[in-house]
Amino acid sequence: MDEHADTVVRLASVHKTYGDVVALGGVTLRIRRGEAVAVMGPSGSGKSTLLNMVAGLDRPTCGSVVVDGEDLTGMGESALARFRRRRIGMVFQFFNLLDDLPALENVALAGRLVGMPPRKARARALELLDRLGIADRQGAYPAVLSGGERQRVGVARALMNRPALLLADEPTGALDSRTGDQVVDLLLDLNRTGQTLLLVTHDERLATRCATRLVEFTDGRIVRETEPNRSRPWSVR
Amino acid sequence: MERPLSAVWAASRAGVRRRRLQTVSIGVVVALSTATLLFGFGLLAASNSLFDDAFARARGAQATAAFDAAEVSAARVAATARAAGVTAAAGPFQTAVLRQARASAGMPGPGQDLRVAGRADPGGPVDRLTITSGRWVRGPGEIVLHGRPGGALRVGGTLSSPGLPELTIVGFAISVTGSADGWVAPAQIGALRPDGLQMLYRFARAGDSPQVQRSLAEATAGLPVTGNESYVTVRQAFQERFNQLIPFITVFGALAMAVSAIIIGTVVSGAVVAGFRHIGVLKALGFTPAQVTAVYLVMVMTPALAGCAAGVAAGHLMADAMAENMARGFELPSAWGATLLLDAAAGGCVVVLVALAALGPALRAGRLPAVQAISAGAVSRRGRGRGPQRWLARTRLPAPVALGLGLPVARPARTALVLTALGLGVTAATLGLGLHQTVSKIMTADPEGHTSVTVGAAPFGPTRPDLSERQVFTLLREQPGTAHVMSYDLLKVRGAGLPDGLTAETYNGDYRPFLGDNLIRGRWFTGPGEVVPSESLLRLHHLRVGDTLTLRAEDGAPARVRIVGSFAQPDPNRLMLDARNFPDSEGAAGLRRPISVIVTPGTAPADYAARINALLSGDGMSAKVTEPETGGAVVFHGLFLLLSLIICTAAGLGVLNGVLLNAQERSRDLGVLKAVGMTPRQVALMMVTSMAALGAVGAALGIPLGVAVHHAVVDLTGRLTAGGMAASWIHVYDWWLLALPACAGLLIAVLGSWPPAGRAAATRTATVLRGE
Ligand SMILES: Nc1ncnc2c1ncn2[C@@H]1O[C@H](COP(=O)(O)OP(=O)(O)OP(=O)(O)O)[C@@H](O)[C@H]1O
Ligand SMILES: [Mg+2]
Repeated sequence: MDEHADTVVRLASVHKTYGDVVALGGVTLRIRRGEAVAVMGPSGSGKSTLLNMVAGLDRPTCGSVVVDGEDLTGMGESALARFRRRRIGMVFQFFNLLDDLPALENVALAGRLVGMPPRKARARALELLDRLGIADRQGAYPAVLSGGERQRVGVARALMNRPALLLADEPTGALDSRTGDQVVDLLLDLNRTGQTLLLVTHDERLATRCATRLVEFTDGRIVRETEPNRSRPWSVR
Repeated sequence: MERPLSAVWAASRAGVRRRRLQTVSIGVVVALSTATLLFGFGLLAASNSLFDDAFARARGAQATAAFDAAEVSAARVAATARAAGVTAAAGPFQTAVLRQARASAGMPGPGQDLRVAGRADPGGPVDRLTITSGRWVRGPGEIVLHGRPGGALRVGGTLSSPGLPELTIVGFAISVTGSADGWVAPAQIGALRPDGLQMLYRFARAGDSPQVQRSLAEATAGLPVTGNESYVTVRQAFQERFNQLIPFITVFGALAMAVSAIIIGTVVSGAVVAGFRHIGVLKALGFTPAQVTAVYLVMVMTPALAGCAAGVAAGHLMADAMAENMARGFELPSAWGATLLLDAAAGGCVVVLVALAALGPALRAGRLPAVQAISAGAVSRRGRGRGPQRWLARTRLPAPVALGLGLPVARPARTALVLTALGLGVTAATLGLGLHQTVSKIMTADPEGHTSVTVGAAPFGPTRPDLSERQVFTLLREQPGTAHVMSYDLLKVRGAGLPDGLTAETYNGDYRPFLGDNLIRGRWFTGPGEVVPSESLLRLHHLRVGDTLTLRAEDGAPARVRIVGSFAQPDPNRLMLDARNFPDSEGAAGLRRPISVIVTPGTAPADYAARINALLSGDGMSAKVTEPETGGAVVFHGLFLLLSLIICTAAGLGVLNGVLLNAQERSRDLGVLKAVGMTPRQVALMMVTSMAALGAVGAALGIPLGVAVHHAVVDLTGRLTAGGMAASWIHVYDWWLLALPACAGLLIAVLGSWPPAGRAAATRTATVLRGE
């Protein structure tokens, strides 16, 4: 396979500054299809900023961001939104479900956005909830779901459009350790079936458990890259 | 784009369903403003065309001529119908006067002199009557009265007049120009001692008063006409009443629109501010900026369209009812209020307005940077307003009160929204109440507004009364129940340096209590040598208070009078002054001038009038209770009350919405405070304190603003219309009139924050903290 098709994310000397604050100070990073990359680092080191760059939620001050063959640098807001809805799935620390919609509709909405007919979107959403073991909670509103349940709904929503890349910013940060472990197992499972993963976490144990590659950040720069699970056969295709 | 649209739908539908208060507020505000606008449109349309429409449909008589039956034969009168320039004519109808007619079964009270005509048919080529109740006369013994049933006068009742056969009232009908007070069958009129002939005309040329007079003179050439009436007079009376009020109707309509636009704007802004995270999530999911804008627009437009439909329906009914009421007030046969065109115009205006009001915040939502929106929940905001909060914390106020007072400062944007809604609500209510007060004062400003009973020559009396004015004054003053007596008349005068055709209102007797509060400058005249012209006369001729005029009645000596003030009146040819300025023309041969009486408190005008009638009828005089202005004072009163109510309700709802939104938003902060040890009661106290503070500030800002806008509007209206505004119509605010909106603002703020405060205080801390 040629290198191009194999690459999902390619960042080339990406800088991001907010006024005087340098959030990213020249980051170059390549993520291949099927990899699970965990980004670690102290608070304020620019991890979330990096994720936002990849998701096209924010623009670099300079440098280029190419995701799944598309150069995000020159895209307008609407083009970025369309890119996001097809290629990216996002999982948040605080879930960020829409309070106004029940679990199933929260998931189905992502499908409706790419033009799936309502019935089909609901069927696929139900299938995902079923796979994540919360099909029985499909009619519940976020306010009555437990943290773990909410995060599963969040993951299901992220997977709805079979994204090329799943982004997760501290997905276990708001969960107790047992529920957190379940979510990690879920992500691990997904990666095993080929889902490319970019994960931000504080939790070293979590990182080493599910990542094929570990990227460490300090002050907006990559200071170390390791491959803790090098032996994993599916890490490199 | 059809498919992604369904995602927009899904997202907005959920928003509409779950944000019930916001949705309901928008719906109600839009419904109220649509109804108001439609109502206003209907009113303006009516003012423009109510009379003309009714006149055209009834083929009203442009001139009504009365002839003395003793001098002219019916055949000669009938021949005038064929004169050149007459396009249609009806009559001649024999006329008779029923003196001191009263309902036989009625309550005691003064009788009325009624002029009735013998007429076979309510239709015909001119003056088609509209039967409002009962039926037309079929034969002798029956009468149809002008107007509508009321009091003892009703269908089936009887009417009697001394010395004449009793008549059964079989119906009521309206003539657009009021050609007669009642109608009987031609076979009946002979028994009622007819003495006149009436002829109704429509002419080829009848655009204005002189044309009507000329056409009439041509038609009746040579015949002695004892009296004539032109439709121009009737129409003018109608329009004068109306024109004074049109600026206010317009202001009210515009005000209602402005209030609802701003309130809808703040409601949507509030939704955007409160939906920061919501917007971030939509964007992260892949909603484009345009789609996010669409979600917020649809969220607003759905309830707005529903509200608009309800408003059009309600407004249509209201406008119809109003037109019907006005037709009654102005004694017109019929009227219609709103038309489909007006419905569409009002509905369209409001929908466009709402869309514009919502567009700003919705576009803002679309433009909001995704990262900022999404992290709004997680990232702490920069501390603002720390200074005041630290200062408050150091005061001796109880901690919850100090914290509550500090809350609004900490979140300036949200606070500004609630404050805008509150301030505007108070402003609108203040302005509305003031305008209502002003209009009420205008309606009752005339001297007639103060008169309880008028005494004059019996209208159809055989002879002139031979008592002099002085004698009648003395007689009346001797009567128990008399408080003030004056006489009032119109006199044609000429003024040096002024154009011809001045009309002087001359007053005699104890007139001061009768003079209205329509004074614009200076003071009222107190005796001879002083004059108060209309404001428009002063303006037109660049005269000032203090200037001296020389006036001369038709054939009298000149009188030098000093201008001491001016009164509100659009007619630039009007003056008011003491009748003694023109001694020659004062009551020379018997009583000419109608006399007005104010009765003492506790005296019933009807009883008083009956007593005077008994006393003076032998002298050919009659007393009559002054009816409240039929031209619709009551109608307008109700109308403005309704409009104020609508504006205040809309403003109140906007305020409530803002307050509730703000309070709900804070439930998370409250959870935190409870977590660090505040009691539920302290939490509730803190919330209510913060809103009460906003309510107080809103009132403090809104009241002066409302008063200022009221003064500006009324003053401007006075400048723009010829009539001018009396000072007492501008300065209408009593302390209670200001206390009312202030208290309402405070009350709404406190009441609006109560339920969410209670809820926040009651919910378990864990739930609040966990809730997203
Ligand atoms: N919108 C913004 N405006 C200004 N500064 C910002 C903004 N977003 C991030 N920063 C700054 O950029 C730096 C990196 O922030 P970022 O959120 O990426 O850190 P992080 O590594 O995710 O931290 P944490 O682990 O605490 O989430 C920080 O110093 C932060 O203050
Ligand atoms: Mg972060």
